Amino acid sequence: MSDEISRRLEEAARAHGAEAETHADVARIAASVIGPARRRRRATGAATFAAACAAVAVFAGGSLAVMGALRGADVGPATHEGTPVIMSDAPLPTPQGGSDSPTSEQGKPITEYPPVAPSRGEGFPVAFEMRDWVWDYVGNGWSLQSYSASQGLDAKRHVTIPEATIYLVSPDGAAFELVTLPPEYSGAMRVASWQEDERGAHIVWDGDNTADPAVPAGAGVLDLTTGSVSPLVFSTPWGVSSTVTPLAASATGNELWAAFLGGHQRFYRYGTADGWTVAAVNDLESIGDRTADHRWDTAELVGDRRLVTRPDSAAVLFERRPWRNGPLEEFAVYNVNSGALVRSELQFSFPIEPDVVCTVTAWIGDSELSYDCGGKRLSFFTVVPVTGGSATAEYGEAVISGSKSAVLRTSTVGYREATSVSYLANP
Amino acid sequence: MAGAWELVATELVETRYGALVGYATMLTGSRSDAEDLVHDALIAVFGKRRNLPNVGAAEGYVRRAIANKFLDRARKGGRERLALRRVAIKAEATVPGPEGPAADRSSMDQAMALLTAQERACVALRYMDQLSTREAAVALGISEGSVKRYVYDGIRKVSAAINIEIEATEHEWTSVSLKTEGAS
Repeated sequence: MSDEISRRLEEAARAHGAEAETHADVARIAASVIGPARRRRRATGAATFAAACAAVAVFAGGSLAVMGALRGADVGPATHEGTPVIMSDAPLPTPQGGSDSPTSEQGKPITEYPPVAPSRGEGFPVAFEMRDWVWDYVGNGWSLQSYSASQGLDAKRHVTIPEATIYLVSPDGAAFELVTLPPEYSGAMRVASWQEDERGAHIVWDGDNTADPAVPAGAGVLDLTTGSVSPLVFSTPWGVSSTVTPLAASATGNELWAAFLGGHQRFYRYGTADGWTVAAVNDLESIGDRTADHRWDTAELVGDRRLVTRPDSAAVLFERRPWRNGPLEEFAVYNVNSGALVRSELQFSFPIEPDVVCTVTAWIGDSELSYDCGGKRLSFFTVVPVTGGSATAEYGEAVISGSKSAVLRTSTVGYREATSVSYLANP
Repeated sequence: MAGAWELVATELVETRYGALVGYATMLTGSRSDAEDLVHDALIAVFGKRRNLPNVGAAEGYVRRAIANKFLDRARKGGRERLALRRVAIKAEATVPGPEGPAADRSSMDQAMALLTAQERACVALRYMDQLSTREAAVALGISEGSVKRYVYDGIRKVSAAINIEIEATEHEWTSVSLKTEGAS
């Protein structure tokens, strides 16, 4: 039986392989492998302390593109040194009404707390029960925090995971249990954005193939007062989307999402003023057809896919290439807040060979991007403006992360908290 | 002048690209996803400064990288898992050639689509790469027990789907009786 299965697997694989080979341009594929691989080798070869720092900066900067979704002091500097963050094994914060207690937008510190909520088990924070009057205190310094679990990769059998729970957390670190979610929304559930004025949130969760029946991944609009979830789906020109994923959520409450259906994708903007609209990004040629060769798509990356979104989560990078990992022809930056799309055509100030491929390595402020370019004989870093029109790339020195130094918000680590990493799934 | 690794990479792509995509397709269920996976795996393998003396050695590394990256993507859940499920119900594209092999391929594709990501990876490493349980466990970074369980579950599903009977002696997984401390 084993031999028979092996034989049939091999046969099926061979058939797929033969089909793939008839369509493959192996010379082009080899070139598209060697260029990025060479750049990786060069980067790892120069693994100095500075290089490591730069890599961490880029990585952490990417994660903050996501954390910007939680618009509050959870991404800003700590305002109260020494105030405890509630953890499952930490003592409850004592109610504080003194002068060192932070003041909300409404100017009122909490002086009395509701009863402690029943424990939800290991990993969950100790929290107070939610009361409607707590909302009156919510302002600067507060945050929404989610706690959820997922199936372990190495789990032998499907395990029942606890219900995901969302807490409202005060600047003092006091958590108030807002809502718990049903099992189908609980797998690795994350808050993608918080609509403070509506007392709502956009959330995403992972699917679970080990469950019977399988639980699909998805996203939804959560009412923070009732706990009800409305699954987020879009009516695309090709039908109702099967999957959606957030790409950016800015500090001012504007977002960009991608919706997928088969080989198609479409982008939607959520604006604080006008709700859901079709994003201007969809005007880019062939961006909706993921099977087309010559088309626009989110930025092509080797490695860190979080670079698609600017660290402040207010802009998303799109590129046009003749094929996957092919030479960069044009790029466009979509401003999540204004909804505007600025297209730039890449030009070089010096002659280059046609095999030179550029991949983005960093956002530099609001107006520039760093690209790492390389071909069979030429490799260089360059910084290009994103102001539209013709973007001229100069020959830059081979440094690890861009040829310009810029101060970026690169990481946030809470007191006695794990370092956050990106949870937005980029296409 | 191209380095030795570049010559190996070029030769690997020129001579084994189809085989790698075929292998990856059995994992992903979709040729376009498989091509992406192979591309990423090639860059990952050749992007590291390691000694790859020949195409055979390089292909082994790339195959492990394909399985690993496939599992990484599945671990992230979300779209990849949904994509797999979509593939499972997607109609097969028409392919040239004799009807027999095409139908055979299609039935194996559908059978593999029934498996979880972990089961696919373990079945591929054991039954296509002919790795031992220990080797597969090391390649995927999971325990031998898990490999056995995934292979057992995966093969059972595949066998049922393509109407092959499992012989009791052939499965690798055996239950382990737990003993509580102090029990005789």
